[in-house]
Amino acid sequence: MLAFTKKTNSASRAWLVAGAFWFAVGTTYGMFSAIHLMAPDLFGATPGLVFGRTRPIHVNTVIFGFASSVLWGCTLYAVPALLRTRLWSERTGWLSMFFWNATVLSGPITFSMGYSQGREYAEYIWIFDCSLVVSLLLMILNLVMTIVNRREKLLYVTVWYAMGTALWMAGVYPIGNVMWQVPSGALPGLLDSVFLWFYGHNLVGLLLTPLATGVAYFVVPRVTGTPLYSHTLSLLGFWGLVLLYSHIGGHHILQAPIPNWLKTVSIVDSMGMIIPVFIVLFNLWMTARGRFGSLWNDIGARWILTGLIWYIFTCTQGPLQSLPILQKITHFSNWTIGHAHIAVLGFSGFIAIGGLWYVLPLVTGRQLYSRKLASLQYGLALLGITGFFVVLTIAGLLQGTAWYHGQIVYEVLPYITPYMISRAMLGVLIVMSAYIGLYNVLMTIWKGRPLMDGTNGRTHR
Amino acid sequence: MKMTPALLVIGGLMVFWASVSVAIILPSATMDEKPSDIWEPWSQKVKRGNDIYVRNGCSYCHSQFIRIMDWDGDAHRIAQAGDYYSYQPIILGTERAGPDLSQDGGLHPDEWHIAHFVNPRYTRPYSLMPSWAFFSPEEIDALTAFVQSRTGRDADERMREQLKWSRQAVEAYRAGPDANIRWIHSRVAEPWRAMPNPYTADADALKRGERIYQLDCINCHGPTGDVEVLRGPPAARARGKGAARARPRRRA
Repeated sequence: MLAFTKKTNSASRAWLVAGAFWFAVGTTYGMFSAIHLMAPDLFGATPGLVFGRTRPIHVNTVIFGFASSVLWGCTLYAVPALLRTRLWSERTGWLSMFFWNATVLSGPITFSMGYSQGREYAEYIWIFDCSLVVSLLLMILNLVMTIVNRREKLLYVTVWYAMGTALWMAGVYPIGNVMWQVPSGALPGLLDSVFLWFYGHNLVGLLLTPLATGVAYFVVPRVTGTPLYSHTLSLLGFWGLVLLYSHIGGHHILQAPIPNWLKTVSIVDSMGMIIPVFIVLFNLWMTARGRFGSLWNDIGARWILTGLIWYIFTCTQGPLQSLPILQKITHFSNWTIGHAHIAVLGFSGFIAIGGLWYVLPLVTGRQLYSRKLASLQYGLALLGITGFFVVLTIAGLLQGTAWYHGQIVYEVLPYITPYMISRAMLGVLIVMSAYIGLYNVLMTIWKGRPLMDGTNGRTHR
Repeated sequence: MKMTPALLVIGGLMVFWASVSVAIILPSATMDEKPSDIWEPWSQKVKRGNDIYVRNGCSYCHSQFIRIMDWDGDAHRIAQAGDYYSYQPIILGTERAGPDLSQDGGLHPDEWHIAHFVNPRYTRPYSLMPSWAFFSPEEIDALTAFVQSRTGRDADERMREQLKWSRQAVEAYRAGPDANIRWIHSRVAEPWRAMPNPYTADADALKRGERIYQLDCINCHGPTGDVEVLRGPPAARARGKGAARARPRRRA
């Protein structure tokens, strides 16, 4: 029964297809939200399309549905490949895919009906929190058993990040969602915000970042054909990430009355993040040194290279943003929205899509259906996200400065209208890119020509 | 250093849980708030309102804490940890596409909020809030009660004042124009009544005033300001038709 779930790499492929699908759904809901901020009466009073309900669908679907699903798909191919073995159990991989996606699917359904726990990024209702945790536990089992059954003695850095992500998220998710409090999923009083932002930031820090970093570490040396520049640097980057990233959630509520020592810890460690981030970037940069042409020419590696450049922006801006002197202007404004987009789409999203185009031929045994479409998709997404960053940053500075000098929030709204309109227009490009990507994935599976040689898919351009 | 499976799993977990002990366990053990001076328990209705607020994502645009640098109309006092004592869930928010609501209680009459929830542009033409016209009157009432409860005891005091004065104003209005003008004048201190208006009532000034009136006042007070019963959504509710059925009106 269900023999297809036993085929080698079928679990990886399932995660990739699910991720491409959720990219389309997630950005569509982002579009609804953007339109709302531009023309709030356009949809009338349609319960499923009010901003308060579309925004959590957008955010959760792109984080859990798109970026993490695609990255898990790439990881499930990369880890066995690096350990010279097969995934311990394809069926377990499918099962964890099923539980994970059940949670993602619950978003558009329950949120649009007004069933949500309301805490940012922790909105999934309790039963679907459980489903996601089950998925993580299955992932841990699968990864551990794959490592146990390996035929390559050395554990490559991608394997560390994959294993680490599953182990950490199995702690982060139940704590952050306060899963022992049913049904509110929240603690009483201000302490709840401490839990919430520990969780919120670790979604980026201990889910998207390690998975994306792992995929970049996997693809970059393979495409450039050079060995990893430094083992020591990869160790420092890995341990630095889990040590520092896990402390910095407090910078989201820096101006709220949480304890001062917690604010200090979050700022110091936020600044400290610059170290592991730039260690990783330096390591990958030196690995690819002199061979950036080969990264550019491989359609998958091109997205990853771009994702790494966004990583520089994101993780320079992020630590600076934690400083009170900057945050007094930027907090609460669209500046932060711009930052969130370059983190999730620019950095981890671009690396996810790069990994998708790199890994998809390897797990389907078919050449990419259309390199031109993937290239077009790249251009659209890059234009969209760059525009987003510029437009939202300007809007944020405008709001923040106006507020700081005594204008009330309501009075400043007309001033950001042009930016909200530009953002919605740029959003169209990103939505188009998502649908083109989904089409390309499906056509590769249905119509792609078989890979003729065993050159790790590097010939598919 | 060589990365072995044991180091990876045990080391990874140890570092992570050490972080959890700093970022989560330590605050849980040490953050011990007492209720602040304005704190008061939530009534069932307010709790219901908060539930609607949470489930419908109001917190994505409305924060619930006033910072030291805030100047907004609602910023009366800087948030204290004790303001949030025992409220569950209480969502502070991270974005302001609308005003902070933590101290909004009592600043507007209930009717204003009801009109605003049904069609935000009715009371605030620049508002980006969605219309919540699909909520039942009971839900809108609960949501209104929640907003009116923000700032706890201070909000209750403001609500009491507000009701007192609106009752007197309505009475004066009903007594006819002369009595109404007498009452309005009686609310102005004697020395001020005799003072000339330094702002000349020329055509330009009147035009400017008219524009402000049309933008911010006309929907509730009528074209010339002589309407007693609120028009639009609140009026529909007062007539027993239910706020949900009042159709959102486009901005003129």
